[in-house]
Amino acid sequence: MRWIRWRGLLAFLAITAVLLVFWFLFIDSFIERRIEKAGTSIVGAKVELDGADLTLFPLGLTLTGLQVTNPDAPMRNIFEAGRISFLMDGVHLIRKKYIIEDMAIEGVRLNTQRSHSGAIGRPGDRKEAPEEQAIKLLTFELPDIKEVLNDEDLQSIKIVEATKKQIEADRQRFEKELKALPDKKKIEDYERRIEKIKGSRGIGGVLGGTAELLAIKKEIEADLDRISAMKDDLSSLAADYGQRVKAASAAPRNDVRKILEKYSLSAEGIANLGSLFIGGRLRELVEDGLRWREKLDLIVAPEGRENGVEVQKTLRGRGVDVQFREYAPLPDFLIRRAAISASIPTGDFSGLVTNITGDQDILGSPMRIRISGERLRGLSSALLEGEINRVAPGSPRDLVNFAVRQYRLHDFTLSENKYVPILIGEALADFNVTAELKGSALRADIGSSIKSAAIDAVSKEQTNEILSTIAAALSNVKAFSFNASAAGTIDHFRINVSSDLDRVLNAAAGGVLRERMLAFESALSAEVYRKTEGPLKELNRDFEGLMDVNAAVKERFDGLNMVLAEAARGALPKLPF
Amino acid sequence: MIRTVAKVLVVLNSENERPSQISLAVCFALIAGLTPFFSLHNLLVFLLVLVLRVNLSSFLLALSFFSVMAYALDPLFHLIGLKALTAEVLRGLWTALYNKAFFRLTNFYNSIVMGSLIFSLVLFVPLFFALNYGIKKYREHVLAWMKQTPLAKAVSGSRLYEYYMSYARIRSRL
Repeated sequence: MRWIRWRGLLAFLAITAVLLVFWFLFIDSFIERRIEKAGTSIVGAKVELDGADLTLFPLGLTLTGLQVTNPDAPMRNIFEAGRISFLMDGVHLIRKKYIIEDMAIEGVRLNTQRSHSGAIGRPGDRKEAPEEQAIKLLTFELPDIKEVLNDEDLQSIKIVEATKKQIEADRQRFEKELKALPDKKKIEDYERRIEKIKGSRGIGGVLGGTAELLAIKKEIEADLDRISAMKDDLSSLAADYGQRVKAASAAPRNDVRKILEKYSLSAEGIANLGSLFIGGRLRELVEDGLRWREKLDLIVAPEGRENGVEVQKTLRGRGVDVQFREYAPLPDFLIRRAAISASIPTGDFSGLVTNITGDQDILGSPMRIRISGERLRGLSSALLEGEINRVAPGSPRDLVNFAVRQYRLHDFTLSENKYVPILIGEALADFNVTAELKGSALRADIGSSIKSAAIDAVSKEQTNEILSTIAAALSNVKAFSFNASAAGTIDHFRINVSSDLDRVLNAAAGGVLRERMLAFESALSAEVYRKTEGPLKELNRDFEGLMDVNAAVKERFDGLNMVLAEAARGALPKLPF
Repeated sequence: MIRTVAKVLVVLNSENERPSQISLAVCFALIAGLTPFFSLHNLLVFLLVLVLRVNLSSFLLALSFFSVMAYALDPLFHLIGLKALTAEVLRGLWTALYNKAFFRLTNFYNSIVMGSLIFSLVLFVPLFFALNYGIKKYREHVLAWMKQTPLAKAVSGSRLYEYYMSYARIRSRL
């Protein structure tokens, strides 16, 4: 017992107890700060909690007063929850698996006012959408061609320069090779040698001439082989370059067409004027959706795996966590069911979000969302259904369906454009949104029908009669519908809108706009052609240079063939008998 | 810190403290100092340090020293740990441990925890014997030589020293 210190055991127990007490006293505020920090980094704006309460028996957590700031409007909360409570599985927690079977999210409110700003850092500059640029057309001030072209990356110049560079390189290569081939002097030398054989007489002369002739024939055939190979190579290249030069000549036209389409200045664009007003709003809607999907992606994105062993990269100096195969695999974090109940002025909403995890591939099920409205005021029904699928991490797929029936719009800004802002005072609206994101490919369909509308459209440039006509025409619209589709990639998508408003707007301003469009097209074409004229001329010159080499090779090929034919035909003298 | 260093010197020079009590304290500090502090195995180390009659001052001083050293050695621990954790022959063992809830708590699957633990366990026994030997030799030669110096003789022969030692003996019994 000489080695045992019993007082040490007591000290150990006392220290452990003190540490546990401290842990229990401070763990709530520690959890609160961790949630605020993680949430803020995901949302990009302040996430705040009034309190967190951890209970050990049963093991659970209750969060109160959660406020999530809208990153686009820092004085408003995009989401507020009165109480979030859940129980956790203690055994799984020891294995560092945060498994929550049921979570209740109560007292949800949307778009509430904040007492202080929830912004973190400076907001990013908003890029002007193509619809906003196109709408300038309505002012009848043509967009500045030079500015338009400065923003554009003209493909025609790139195509011309690339083709020119290749042709020039090939031309130089062939010119060099041509120098190594038998030239006119060598052909004349062959002819002289054949003439000499022709002049030989007698048996000795014939025999000597035959040997010499066979040698010349062999030499010519070898030369012909070399020229023939180069000729074939050059011919196929010339044909290919001919096509490419033709395509390069047509490229400026394609550039003009693309720019016109971008600014909705094509004939189709003019026939689709409604999209100038609705398109911007729809683009905002799609971009908002994509931004929130990006934030959700931070929750459901799987960890990286390397060589069959999953390695979680941590901070420098803290090493890496190597993860091994689990006999009964479970996600590291999982909320199996989160029941949401929200009370907004419109009525009560309830919903269920299932399988919230970053390890969908382990769980084998995607995250699903279903929120629907009951006992609603001002709308007959609302339903949001979504799926975020990362079960196969290599091919992610997200789906969303959103439908609202008989929604009573009140002071709804349909278009905020600075020339003719459109406000819907009162209306009944049906909305349908279906969107799918496969990898980075986006496909969305948005449909709406608006009835009993009181539209207020005012021209901000009252001296512009056409704008005033458009505003008056829009103000008289009582019902309209539109269908829009967004297609492309997350970073670059195009919105096509077809709407009843097209007919109204075309009747009011279609004719004049068409004239303006033609004037703009003509000025744009002239500028694009002026920019590409020089490089195109140089391209044609280089191509002609290559064709000259081709002609020179052909000439030498023909010349040598003639000499060869001569050698075979009658170079040897006639025998005396 | 100065107080701790002084205490260690007193212990080192004290005939009452066995060399193994000091050596074992330093070896425990080797594990606790080199491995990440908040690891489950360190709970056992602290329990042993408090329950076994090892020298606490030596443990605290060595713990500070090894904790500083750990920062410099982290890259080496990471390499050792990663090598051990990804070794094909040990895959079965690690997988079995990974599936036990208790071992999950130990964080053994972290490269630095594993690397530093292997490093300190390998050094534990050799360091224990080396320190034992070193302390014995120190007491036999250096301490004996120091006691023979005129300064030491003058100090230890003085009345003041006698009073101080008597006071220290009484205080240690309290």
